[in-house]
Amino acid sequence: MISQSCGLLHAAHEDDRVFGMDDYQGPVARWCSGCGDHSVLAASQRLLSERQLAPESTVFVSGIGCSSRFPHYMKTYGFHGIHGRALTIATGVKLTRPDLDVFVVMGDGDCISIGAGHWVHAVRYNVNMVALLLDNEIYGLTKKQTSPTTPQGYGTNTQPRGSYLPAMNPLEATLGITNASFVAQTAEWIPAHLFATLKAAYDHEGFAFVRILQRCPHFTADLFEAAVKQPDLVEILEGPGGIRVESLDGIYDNKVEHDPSDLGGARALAQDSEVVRVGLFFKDESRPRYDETRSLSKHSAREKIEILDRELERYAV
Amino acid sequence: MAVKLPTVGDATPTQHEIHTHAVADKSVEIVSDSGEGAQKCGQIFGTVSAKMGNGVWTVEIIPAEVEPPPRSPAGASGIRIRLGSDLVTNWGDETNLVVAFNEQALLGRHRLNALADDATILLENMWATHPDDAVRAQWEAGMEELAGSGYRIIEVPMEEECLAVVDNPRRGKNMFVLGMLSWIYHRDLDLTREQIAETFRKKAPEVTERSHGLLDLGYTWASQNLDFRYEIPAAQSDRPMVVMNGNEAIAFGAVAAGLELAAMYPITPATSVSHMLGDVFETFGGVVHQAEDEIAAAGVAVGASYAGKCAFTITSGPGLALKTEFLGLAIMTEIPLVVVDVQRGGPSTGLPTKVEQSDLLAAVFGQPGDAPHVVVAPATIEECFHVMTSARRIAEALRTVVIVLSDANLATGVAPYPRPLMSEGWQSIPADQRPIPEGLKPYDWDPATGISRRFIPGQVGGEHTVTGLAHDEGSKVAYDSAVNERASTMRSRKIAAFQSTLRPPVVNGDTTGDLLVVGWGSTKGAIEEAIDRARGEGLRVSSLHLTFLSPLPPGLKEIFSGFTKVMTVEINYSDKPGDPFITEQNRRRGQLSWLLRSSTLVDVDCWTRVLGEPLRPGRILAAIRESIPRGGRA
Amino acid sequence: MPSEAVMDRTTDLTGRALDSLKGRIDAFHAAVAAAEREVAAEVLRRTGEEDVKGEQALIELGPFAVGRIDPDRFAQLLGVAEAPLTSEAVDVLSRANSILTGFRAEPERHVVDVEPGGDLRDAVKAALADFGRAYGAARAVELARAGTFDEVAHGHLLGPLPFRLWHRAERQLAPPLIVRVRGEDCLPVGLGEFLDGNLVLVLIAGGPTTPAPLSRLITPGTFVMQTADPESLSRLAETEHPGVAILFDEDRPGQAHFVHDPDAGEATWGRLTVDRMPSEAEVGRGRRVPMWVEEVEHLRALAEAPPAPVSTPGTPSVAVPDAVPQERRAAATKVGAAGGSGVAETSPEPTSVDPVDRLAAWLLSQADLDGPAASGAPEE
Repeated sequence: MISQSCGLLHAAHEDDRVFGMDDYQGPVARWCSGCGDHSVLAASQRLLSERQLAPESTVFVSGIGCSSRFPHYMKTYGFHGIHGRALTIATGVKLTRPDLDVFVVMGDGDCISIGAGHWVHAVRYNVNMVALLLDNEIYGLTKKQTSPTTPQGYGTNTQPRGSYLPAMNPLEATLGITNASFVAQTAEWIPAHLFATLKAAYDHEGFAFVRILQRCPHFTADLFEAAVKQPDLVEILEGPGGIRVESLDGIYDNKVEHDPSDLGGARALAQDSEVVRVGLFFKDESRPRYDETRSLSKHSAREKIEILDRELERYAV
Repeated sequence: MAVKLPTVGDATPTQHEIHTHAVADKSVEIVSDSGEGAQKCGQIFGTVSAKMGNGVWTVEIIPAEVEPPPRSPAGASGIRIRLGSDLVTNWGDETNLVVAFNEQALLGRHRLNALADDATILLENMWATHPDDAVRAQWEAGMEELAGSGYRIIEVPMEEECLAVVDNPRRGKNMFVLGMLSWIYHRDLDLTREQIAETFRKKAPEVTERSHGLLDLGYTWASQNLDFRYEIPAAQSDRPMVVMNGNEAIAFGAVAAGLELAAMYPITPATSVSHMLGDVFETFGGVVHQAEDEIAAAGVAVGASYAGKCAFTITSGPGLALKTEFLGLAIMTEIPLVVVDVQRGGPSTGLPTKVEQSDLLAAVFGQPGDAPHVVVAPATIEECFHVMTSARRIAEALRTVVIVLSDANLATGVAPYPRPLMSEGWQSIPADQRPIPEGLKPYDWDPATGISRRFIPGQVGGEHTVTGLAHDEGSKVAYDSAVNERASTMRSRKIAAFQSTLRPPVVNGDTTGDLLVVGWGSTKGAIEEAIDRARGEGLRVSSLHLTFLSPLPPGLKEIFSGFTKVMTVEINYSDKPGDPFITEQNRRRGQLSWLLRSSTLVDVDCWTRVLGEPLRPGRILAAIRESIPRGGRA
Repeated sequence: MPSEAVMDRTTDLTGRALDSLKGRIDAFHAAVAAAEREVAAEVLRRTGEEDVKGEQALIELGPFAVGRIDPDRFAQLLGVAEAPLTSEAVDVLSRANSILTGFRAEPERHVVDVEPGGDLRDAVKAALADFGRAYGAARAVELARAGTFDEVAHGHLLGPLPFRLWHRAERQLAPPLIVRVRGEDCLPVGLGEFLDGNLVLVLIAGGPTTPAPLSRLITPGTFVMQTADPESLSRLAETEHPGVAILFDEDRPGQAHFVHDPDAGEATWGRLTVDRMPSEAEVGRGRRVPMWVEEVEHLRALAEAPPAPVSTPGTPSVAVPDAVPQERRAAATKVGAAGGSGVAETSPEPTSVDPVDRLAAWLLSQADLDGPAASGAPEE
């Protein structure tokens, strides 16, 4: 259908631009060196270039935390909002401006802790957008406090003798939410897989939830150390309709066959395990999308007033 | 004094004296258990009266529970209708006439002091002979409690009479009552029949037929058995009118203003705005987003507005508290946002269905950090409609938050007002999507006004990241204290610039006198009625009603200087002088009086009550009499 | 001349088609009306006298502001530091706006009649060029507001703008057209050049036509439909692809009924659903022209599902394509098309032991089916 947001006057400007990676690069990122955020930023810029997304029609929405500085480093529109609420803002943008491509960048505290209520419902709304959970399993910006995904026993400034409770498993939780339509996991230290996952998420019609495992060089550098050094500790999900990265063949050969339409299988694979599993856990584009049920008026201002006047008739005395 | 009237049939109108009282103003209540149709009866009665040209104000009497136990004072459900010759602007004082379906509901109203001392009561008397001993005992006890009052109680065998037309009189009794009221108030029966048909248009035709039969029955019964009637002449107006409650008016006004997305989370008494909107938007597009919580509702509205669409969020006190952080964000990022707060009693869950004006200071100052924005309060149902256009426009023009403070009194009050002649020009001009000229920044504050041009996603060359962090003109995070000082100044300056466009408010009455009563929001009608009566008594008193609460309009100090004393009248809490521990200095005051004292340095007194009901003009009048400085009588 | 009954039927079908496309028509007119308002507001903002600006401010603020806000001062506050419009620019804007005003909701504008014996393509071309005046006007507006409008270079923008000159974004906003044409004049092969962006065309064909006039317009990204049921136009209305449909004025055995929906599958035969394929005898009725047979043959070839691959002993058997659910087919094809799963892409003989891989590879080998249609873009 016709995109109502793209007005006649806007359409009058011929657009034959071709975008390179540079066209999406904002100021130099001020993350620590070795921070996984850099990798996600690069993969995102590559995705935008590959899909030739116009910078002015792309919106990155974030919350608060290290990773939420993300939009500042993109040369697109961005919204650096408040802690935990990025998904609500993104939902408002996409519901009213379906012509914009919307990406949400959240940290683990942002999404899984303070914003948990929104995360659950955004998954259920299944509004067409990409949601990235940059999970370093710690609060970094505020200097090493326990996050919901901090492994049990891992010492932090708030729980110095180790996190008391088992870490929350965002994949398992997301797969348990009614109407989930795309759930994937990838790791920042495998850029090719990260990129392929972002691409699959972008191409998905619905709410694409991607958990990106990443290192915080300051506070959780050791968490994924083994998996980074030993590719065998990474298990790649592959199967028809899944995410396939040929360039990893010969390096990451620990694979598991998985059909992304199999929710039960996805839930089983999402459980905590010795290996780090990456790949597309679940995908179902037939799930209802809230943004397809709602739309703004296509009537002109004059017609709206006319219709409203007729509605008012019911209240006339 | 209970009066046993002769049974039907043995009396004709000529056999008993009928006193017709010509009055300018009369209120009637119909009270019952939930689900007995009292409200429907009252709505039809009110609409017919409005169509006949009377001023009308109806307000529903809603028990706190969805299904309260039947025949209980706390379960009294119903409707109150105030009729007048002229425009009726408030619910009035104590009720003069009550139709009660059982004595317990009546007791509920009695105990709330809702009824005039000399009220006339038409009471269903089937309970006196009820087979259940307990019911009869309750009846006896109830009648005893009421006996000491000055009410004139007329027992009416409503159900028994209804049996002539229906098998199940419990359903339909309300139409019998409508018939009685139509006789008492000289209502146009044809108009009433039409209104009944309109009300039940979606039901089987028999429903309308049966209702017409009951209407006639009640009318005839009343004409044969009652000895009083009221004549309330209608001041005919040529202006076409519409009748609705304040929430419906806000919903219509929002659409007329071009607002396209309403984000909300169910909360009493604000929710019905979204019901209405849902209905209207279904007709021609628009989104009512019922979010997962109050915070998300604000977030979705902020997101939509950021994207260049016109969005608002609706809530009540507890929800406003939850939205606080988002209001700060919208103010910091200069994203236009309209927030409607339909106030109820507080703090916390407070009185969910009852009126209070206790959110004023929270609305003005509730956001941590310095967060200048606009707060405006409609005073009438008509203003609930029109405020939305101004609010949307101001929010967009200033790139700021506009909080609209309505309340439960406006939300549930139903009254006619002139039908708006809507204009296409009220709708927002579509967001400019042109490329951003080179060099222009997302916060290019005009140093003179603090106003800057808004960038919308989709505009080529305008790419930037808005942030809740302190930022400079380019939306770059500020690492420099001077930047924060400048940005804060600009956000404040635009509110000052807007204030410079406000006109001084107009005094109701003389501009000098002994007492100036200052009000805001839904109390306007009651205050002005009290002022009229006070002036009728010769008191030198005037009133001033404030619409813009932040920024306050200019000229207040000058206006106040014309009066010996200035006093706010509000529905919020204040310590009473003379209460234990209370001194002139530690006294906690009405919220508007805090604002006025701090902005004008005038010693503004206050008279406030939190009884969970709208102010009654008579009580305001009493307060005026007490507050007027000694020697104030003309 | 067509009989009155035929005319009535055509009128009825036109109404039904207009109803189906109402959303698109409304959207186009809303876009035009929005542009009109924006232009009017801009002229006012950049030329108006102070008091006119005040009046405008008061309208925008609504009745609530009366007596409360000084509209002149309010307007002054918002005075953006923009250069005033030159009188030439104002002239262009007002000419452009009168063009836009002319487009106000007139559904009839979307209905085009082809004269008996007339050229279908020419009629569509002219109608689109007429709608192009809206785009031309919008472009003129943008140039004039920016101060770069030049009468010599840009004057033509205030006239018809042929479809081939429409920008990508303009094509996305394209208004739908309903074209009424006699069956014998229904030669749509030249319409291919207009099937771009978001444009949809409904051809209401009165009287007999060739069996499958639209078969040659089937390309992977184009929605194509032949039907006698106006209800099914809703599918056309909802497609996100350019589309064309013939709505026959009656149900004739010699006319094929089919839908080609780009979203329905990866391969042509998956996207194409033929509800009626005229038999040879039916096609033979009336004038027999080789083209008629050709159309039917072409449609048949596109619609034909490939034969099932042979099952290899020792591996789980692969379901024949017809028994594979549509989505699964699509998914399988996608994998193949992405070149994944270790399949030798060019090998017609699948070697992988994975049944899905083999199916995918095999499907890929059949992908040439798309070739003729894709490259069969009609020439001018």
